[in-house]
Amino acid sequence: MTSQTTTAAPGVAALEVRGVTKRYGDRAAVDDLSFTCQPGSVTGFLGPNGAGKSTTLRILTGLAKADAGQALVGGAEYRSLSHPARSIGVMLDAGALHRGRTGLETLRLAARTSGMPAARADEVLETVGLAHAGAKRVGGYSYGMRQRLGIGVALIGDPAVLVLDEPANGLDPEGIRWMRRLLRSFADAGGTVLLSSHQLREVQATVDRMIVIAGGRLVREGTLDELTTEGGTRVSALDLKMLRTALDAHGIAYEQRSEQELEVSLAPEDMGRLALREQIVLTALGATDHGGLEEVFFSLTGQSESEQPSPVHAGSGDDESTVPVGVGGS
Amino acid sequence: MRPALDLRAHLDTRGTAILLTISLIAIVAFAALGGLLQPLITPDETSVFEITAFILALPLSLIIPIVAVMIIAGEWSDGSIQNTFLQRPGRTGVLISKVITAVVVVAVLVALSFALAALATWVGGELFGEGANFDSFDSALASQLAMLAATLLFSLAVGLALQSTVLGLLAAIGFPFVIGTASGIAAITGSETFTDVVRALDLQTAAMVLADGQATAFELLPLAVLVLLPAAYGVWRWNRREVG
Repeated sequence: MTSQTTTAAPGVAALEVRGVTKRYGDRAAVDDLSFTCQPGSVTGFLGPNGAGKSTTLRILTGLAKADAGQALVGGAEYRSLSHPARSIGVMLDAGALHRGRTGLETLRLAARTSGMPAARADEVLETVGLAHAGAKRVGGYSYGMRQRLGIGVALIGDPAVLVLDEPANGLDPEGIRWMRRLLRSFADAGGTVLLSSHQLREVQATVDRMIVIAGGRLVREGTLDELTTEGGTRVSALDLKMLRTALDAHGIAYEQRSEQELEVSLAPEDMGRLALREQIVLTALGATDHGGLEEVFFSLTGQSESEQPSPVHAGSGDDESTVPVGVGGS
Repeated sequence: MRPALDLRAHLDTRGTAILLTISLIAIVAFAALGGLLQPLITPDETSVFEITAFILALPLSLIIPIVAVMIIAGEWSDGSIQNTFLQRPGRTGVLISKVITAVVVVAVLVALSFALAALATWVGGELFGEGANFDSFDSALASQLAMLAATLLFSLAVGLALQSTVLGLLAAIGFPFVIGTASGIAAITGSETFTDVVRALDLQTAAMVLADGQATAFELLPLAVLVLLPAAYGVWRWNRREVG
């Protein structure tokens, strides 16, 4: 990303999906889905097969039309962008690159389409580690090389936003590491990344925030820490009885974990504030570890088949289980 | 609309390189066959442009559908239309641009073919016979151009409607062949109804009649049925079809 990059106007989300619904016959592939992605963050877009991730990304990039709602890039619909590659780089399917064209020509054509100089193609080819294969036709590329070229096409217009669907597929460990660094540095430079993936470990290592969908609906949204630690905070106090009295007075649920420790249904920072207000001396405070992302993912999305998940919108403040929206740093 | 971009995108693939090479070889071979060999096998030992043009129209009636369908439907078949629409989301502009590209490529091929036909006719007549005959140059050019234009329009229309290279090529090449056969059968059977049905679907013949200036309103029917209707459906589908 450079200073030439087109960025969203101040106060406008880099990506915004607002009440999007898409139906195929009687089945809702996406059902009243809303979320935003802010600059400077890598957002993971997670969900089981058929959850509606690809449909959402296709709607966001103008390849499909929503039945209701809006999907906006910097406040505008994708189809209204005159040079979309200058604002948003997209890689949905590396297999969609023409197999009969060389890697370098693919990038040169993309550069010309987006109004970038031809030299940008050589630069990007170097960035994605394909300088040695520029003259080779895409049909002769391995899947991992095609993924790299697809990411190169997404980067060609020097955009401020990246939308990538399963970018780690086919990449070797070195390639995955390269991609992780690329996305991190892109976000650290103020860019916005929306990354759809099935590879939970990859997501865990790359993203700041996550959006989890199932059955076309949002089931959880928040930072990685919020999702993996949600459900409580471990807390110990010098005077445990005083702590219990304070929690009871505020109607906050808790469980006795050990003689000296409670698990309360508050975020650690809220527990800290409460203790300060009630002048309780805490001796230990920390988020409860409920396991990794995998456990959280299955617990969140596993309900989708047996029962419809009730959508929980972040930051509503009405539900104690609601996860507040926040752009976490990593 | 960026036809220069689509022209480049069409020309820089291996498939197009192979297709154009084969096309050029076929055009040169048929021009030579028509123009150079004519005096050796005709009784008056002259080389007639009309015959050379007719012979050259044979490979062109195959090359034109292939070029047109590949330009219009090729990206839908290989999936690369996704990247095109991601970079150029204005679908109507992309479509118009591709149509212009197809027309330009075909126009260049046809112009080259007729120039070669004229050259081969002249060289053949002067070198191997009693001279070249260009008496029917205008009428031959008009009728062949009309027939080839009809082939191009029909190919674009079915490529647009079907948005598949295989189906588009089957329709664009196969349908005129079927109609040609049906026309022969209609002549043998003498059935007026059958003849009218075939006539209503015979775009090439209608185009040649139109070029001769002898067309009636009936000759517009194939244009409506085989070009306008599928093209209208294709434009609607082009703008609505989901990609990916």
